[in-house]
Amino acid sequence: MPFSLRSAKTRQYLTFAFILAASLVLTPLAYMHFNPEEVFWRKGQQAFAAGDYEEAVRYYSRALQDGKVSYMLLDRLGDSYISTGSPEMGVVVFLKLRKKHPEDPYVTLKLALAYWAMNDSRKALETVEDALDLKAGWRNALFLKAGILTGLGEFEKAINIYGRILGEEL
Amino acid sequence: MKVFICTFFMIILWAAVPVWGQEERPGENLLQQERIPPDFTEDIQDWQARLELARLLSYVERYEQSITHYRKVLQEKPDLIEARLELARVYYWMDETDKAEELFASVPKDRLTGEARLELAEIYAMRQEYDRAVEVYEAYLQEYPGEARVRFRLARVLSWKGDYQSSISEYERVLESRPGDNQVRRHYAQVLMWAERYDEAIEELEKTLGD
Repeated sequence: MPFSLRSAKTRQYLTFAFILAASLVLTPLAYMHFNPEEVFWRKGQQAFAAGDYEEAVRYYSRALQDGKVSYMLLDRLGDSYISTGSPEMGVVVFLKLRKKHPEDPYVTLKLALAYWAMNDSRKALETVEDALDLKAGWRNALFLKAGILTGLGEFEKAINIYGRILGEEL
Repeated sequence: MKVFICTFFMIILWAAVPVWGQEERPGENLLQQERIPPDFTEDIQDWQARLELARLLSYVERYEQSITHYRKVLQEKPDLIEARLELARVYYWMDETDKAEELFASVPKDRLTGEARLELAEIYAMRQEYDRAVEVYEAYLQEYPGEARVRFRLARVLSWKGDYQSSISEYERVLESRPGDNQVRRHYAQVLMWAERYDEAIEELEKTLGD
């Protein structure tokens, strides 16, 4: 049967092809239009994984503005702020996260880290103690505490904490 | 008489002027170190805690204990260059230069930090291996020509090996960038004396007296 643009079959195939092509183009556009926060979140994740924290902050912030609120998003945003030298913004983010998860020692420790990064060692120390109240003897919290004490010049206390982490008498 | 005047000046000034380029203690950077957030997604490993402990112990001058912990870190992480270099520094500070050099030598040259290279040069100088020290300093200064502190050390080593003319040239370059540094000028004057250029030495020593 000779090929003809006018034939019913050809028109049918062309219509299908057109619908398929349109779907391929429109589906992502529709997804971006209706779920921009997810798109920004994914882009933020890509930037974070590539170590581009400035870019990550931009995308995560947009995701937050567009309504995405999740544990992971706030955690990554806080980390990105600390890594880009804006620990005070990190504090704000981790405070927000702690409000949602007051019993989570990991979040409390991140908050302590943000305080430390902004040179508020006293507040950092208090917050590490909070983390240790939530998870007694947690090595990561003890490690951060020893680092803060070292910065404060309380060397013997810091040495004893390292000894405690290692289970050795010093 | 000139020798007497110069010597008199030197004694007075030596006592009066504070030492420039006082060495840092190992672990000196503990208090100023950049706060890179640790990744708390995994538990801190023993070697990480031990490395921090070793650094702190070296800072508080408990060198023997510090060495023990550095050694344990290296047993677990033999490729950890930073631990190797820091341990070498502790040995260097304990004047165990053989062990320090052995450790420095165990690190690939391209992984030696600037500070480690300078310490290695100090070890060579201490052992009176002046040519090797000069070689390290000159290589360093090719990369960082503006480092007056290192040029000063080079000038000193050159004078110790008796190459007064080169030493004087290096001192002059240091003084170009630090004209008000009396300690450098005092060393410069001393080399001028050794080179028997007494009039210039007196002139330089007079400058260090100020008003």
